[in-house]
Amino acid sequence: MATEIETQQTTGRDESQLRQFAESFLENKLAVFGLFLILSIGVITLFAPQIAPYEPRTQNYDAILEGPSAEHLFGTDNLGRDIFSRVLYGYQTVMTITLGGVMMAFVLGTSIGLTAGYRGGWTDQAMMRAVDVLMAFPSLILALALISALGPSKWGVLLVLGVAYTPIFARVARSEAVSLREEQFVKSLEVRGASQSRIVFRHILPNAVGPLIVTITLQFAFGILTTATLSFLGVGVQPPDPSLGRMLTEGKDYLATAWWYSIFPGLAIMIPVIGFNTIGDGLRDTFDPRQVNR
Amino acid sequence: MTSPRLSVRDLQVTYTTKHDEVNAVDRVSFDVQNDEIFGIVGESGCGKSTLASTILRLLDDNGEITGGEIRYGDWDLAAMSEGELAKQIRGREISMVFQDPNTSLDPVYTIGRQLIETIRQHLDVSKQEARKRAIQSLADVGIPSPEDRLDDYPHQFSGGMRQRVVIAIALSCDPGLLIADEPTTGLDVSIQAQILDLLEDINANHDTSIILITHDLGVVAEVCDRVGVMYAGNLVEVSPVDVVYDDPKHPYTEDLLRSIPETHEMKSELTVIKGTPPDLREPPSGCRYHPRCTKVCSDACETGDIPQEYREDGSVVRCYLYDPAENPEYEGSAKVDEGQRDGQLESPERGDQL
Repeated sequence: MATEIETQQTTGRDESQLRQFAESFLENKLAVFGLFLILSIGVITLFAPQIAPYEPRTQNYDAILEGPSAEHLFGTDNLGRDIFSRVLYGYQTVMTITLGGVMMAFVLGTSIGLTAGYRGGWTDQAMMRAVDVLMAFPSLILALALISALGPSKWGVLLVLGVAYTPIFARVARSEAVSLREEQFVKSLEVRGASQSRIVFRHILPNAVGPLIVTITLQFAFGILTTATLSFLGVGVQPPDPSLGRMLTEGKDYLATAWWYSIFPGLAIMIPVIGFNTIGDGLRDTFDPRQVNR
Repeated sequence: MTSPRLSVRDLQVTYTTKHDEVNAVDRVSFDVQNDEIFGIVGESGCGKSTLASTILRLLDDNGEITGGEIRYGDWDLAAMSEGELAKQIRGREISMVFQDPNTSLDPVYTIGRQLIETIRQHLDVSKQEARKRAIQSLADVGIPSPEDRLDDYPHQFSGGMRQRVVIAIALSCDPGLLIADEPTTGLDVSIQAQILDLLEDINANHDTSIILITHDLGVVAEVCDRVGVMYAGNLVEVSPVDVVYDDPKHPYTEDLLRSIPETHEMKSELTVIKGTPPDLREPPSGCRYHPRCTKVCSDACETGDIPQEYREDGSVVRCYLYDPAENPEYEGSAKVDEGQRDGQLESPERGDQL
């Protein structure tokens, strides 16, 4: 009985089902904690200019490498810039890139995956082999190759995320489409003369949305890490734009004398990654009817 | 006589697997008249569902029409382009209802949206107009307070109601032909009867012919006007429904009827047809039923290429029993005298009475 209710939950868009879904999600304390983290960071990111006490690019040679204090919450860096303000603006950069990149991958990957899965046969083979080739490259190598072709910039990183994560969305979407294709309602849509794009995007996509949302949340976490990694390596966001990864690189030279320089940006990277991961896990559990009695 | 609604001629469907070719439908011909309910019966795997999906060209990728034609109006469905089919035929002129109503509807949309989607796809009408039509369709299939139920999701309907909704969608564009593939199989008996009544009702009140595919001879007896009996990809007999039950022509039909358990007889054993249906990868030569047939009348049964053309009081039979050249005991002809034939067949019974 419980299983039946849960199954309906994953598919229906009914209000009461949405409420059930929300209730089930909210029971998962860890996921709620993650949601809280992400919402806080979202607010911070949106209102960074209002919250930040200093302009992130202004250098102050009277306050170089000062430790955390009431004046400079996270201390200052080697050019006297306020690290707290730079972290806030860093969030803006990293969130823009991740959001853009993951959305690009979602649109590309889902279209490819759903089409391949629904059409099957030759189309499926061609599309998924191309995706496999893309997946065979370690994403960092792929990123370095793309960026060396495009020149380092934050838009380059966005593009890298978009391309590197496409295969993941394509695979998830394909597996959903392959099973939904066999559903009777898809057959009866064909019988009614519905066009292929209508079937794929209006009927298969909404039914596959659960696993895709889980993938989006998890990829957000990876996206933040990859963006930070590329900036750490110096091929991502370019100065003077504030970037969390770049602050880590610069700070590591001062680790012995000014721990705050890299510790705070490091924590700043960690928090949203934990947040997205716990939300993703929570959503996956909620979408999965088998785990109802967890 | 007016031309039939649907006319299938020498239809041949072949599935290609890695190693074999399977002739799932072999030279099948039949007509569906205007406003008639035409039943297709047969065991599992005899090709009846393949036949149904072939009419709308919904075969799986490895299936292919390898011969014959499917005439509907001025169209040959076997030769039409996919695009034309989707635009002119599917859902518009011919619709189909499947076995399981529980999965025939998209769970994420209200039934109203699904109805309106189909209507707007085929008819050039406004949203309001489509909504009105949708309500009308639901009312036609006997759904109470259709205005309110339009905004309900499929899971809020019971199985029988869901099948009604599926039928409403199928009928929403006033199709000329409705193909119902085992429409009552997933439902319990009382609901089955309701759905069959509904089909009869639709057939009577709309200009819609129905092809009813089933393995249930009881269902056929209840609603069909004429019946096609399939065996191993062949249509072995097409007869008016009373002929099938009272005086089946093909030995297979006869055996099939005999295997229905009768409730008033206490028998320790069920009557079964000996043997198993043939493997269609290597169908028997000649008549595909001859290895199980109790009435083999000629060597030609085992070797001949039997045409589906022997006519016998309103029936078309694919059997040499009705060919004077092959069956010396056959005394009738293509146009047999009613009285003479009846006398011949019923004489043993009369003998009993004496």
